[in-house]
Amino acid sequence: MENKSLHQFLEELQIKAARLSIPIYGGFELTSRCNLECRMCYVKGKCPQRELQKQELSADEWIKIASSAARNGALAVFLTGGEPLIREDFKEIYEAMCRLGLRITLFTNATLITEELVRWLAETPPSIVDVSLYGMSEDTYYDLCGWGEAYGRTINGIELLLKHGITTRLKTTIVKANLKEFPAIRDYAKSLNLEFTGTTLVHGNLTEGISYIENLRISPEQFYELCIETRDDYVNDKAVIKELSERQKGAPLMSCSAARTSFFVNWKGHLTPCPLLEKPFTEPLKTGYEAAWNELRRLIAGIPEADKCVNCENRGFCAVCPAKLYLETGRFDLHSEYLCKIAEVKRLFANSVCNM
Amino acid sequence: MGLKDNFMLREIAGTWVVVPIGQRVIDFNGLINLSETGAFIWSRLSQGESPEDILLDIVENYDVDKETAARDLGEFLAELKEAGIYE
Repeated sequence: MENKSLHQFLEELQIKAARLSIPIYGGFELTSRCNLECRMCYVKGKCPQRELQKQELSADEWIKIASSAARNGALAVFLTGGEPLIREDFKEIYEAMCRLGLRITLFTNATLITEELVRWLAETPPSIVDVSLYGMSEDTYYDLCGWGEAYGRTINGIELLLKHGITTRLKTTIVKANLKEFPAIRDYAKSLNLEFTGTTLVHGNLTEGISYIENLRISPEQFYELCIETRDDYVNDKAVIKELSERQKGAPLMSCSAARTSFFVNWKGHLTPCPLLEKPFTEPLKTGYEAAWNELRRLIAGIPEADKCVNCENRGFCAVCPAKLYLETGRFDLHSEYLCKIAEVKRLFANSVCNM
Repeated sequence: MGLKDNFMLREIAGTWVVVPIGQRVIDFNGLINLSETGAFIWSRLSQGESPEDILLDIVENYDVDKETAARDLGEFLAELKEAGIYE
């Protein structure tokens, strides 16, 4: 008998699950609706929220999908959106998924967390609540998310979660509009002793491509400055950087766990390899989960590779994958100039650290 | 004596794991990895079988003598008690 954390257990299970093609980890995008209108969001739909709501799966349909996923080996899932807490039937869905023995991570902007809600959540706590924090001022929230008051509500939500002893992590997406506040966000997470991650990778979506994010995301020059600013947090081992530079060249681009041991069900009920890939998809509610999973695995084998990326000198520094290339270029096999520039900056930064 | 409630035994990718559910997550936010024999014992315990009956089950189902099985079962139950899962 061995007691393990969920993270530790999932890591150890990966190899076995990959060999047997068992989907042990996944995400459920319960809704595309959100009470924020973040300019960089890849989920947001153009339709009015009421129309989006009509197209959503019902609670019963989500519970059916989750039951099949659990029967087919799912151990842990994350619930996301949109904002999952915006669903009036969120509690019903959440409680049913807990009863299935699924360990749950909840992704939320925390603005809808109230004393009443957190008391209920604390009765059956998730493994983790991942809160997105987009700034440290009402101005930034207004500018980036369309609602200034959301800042105070997010902070209040985080404090309520912590008050009730719920394991909480913070994350942020860094774009031009909140770049200046990144140090303050990071310091806030540190002051609460919370695990914190920041990402600069902002993705487009299939409907609009990258047209709406091109002027939002930080430039390669700004990315370099950010690397310098955060070097003490993220870069302290020259050997790791050296290894990184030599890693992965020639390896397939589709080398993550997507559609191997992990899965995603989007708000339309489509089973996809990951949140970024809207296609290929299959339909578990129509064909059954097992058939949908097997078909998805067959479909990803046909995703073409971008030869230029596979053998690129900067491969180890690049976050490239077919999903990102598709969102950037509309094709799986075409390189992205933006990703190329970011990878080059990472290499330059790594070299400067190694030569110190 | 018996297992505390709100634990679920699951088999994932050929691996036995005990998952806390409901309020049990509050005092046990992790997972328990069990061997096949451990899972066998757990499932019998969860059905309310006594350690004496489980011992007979083990000897009947596994290639092991009663003395060794009794020692292993005792150790397993002690581990469960120590983890606050069996009382």
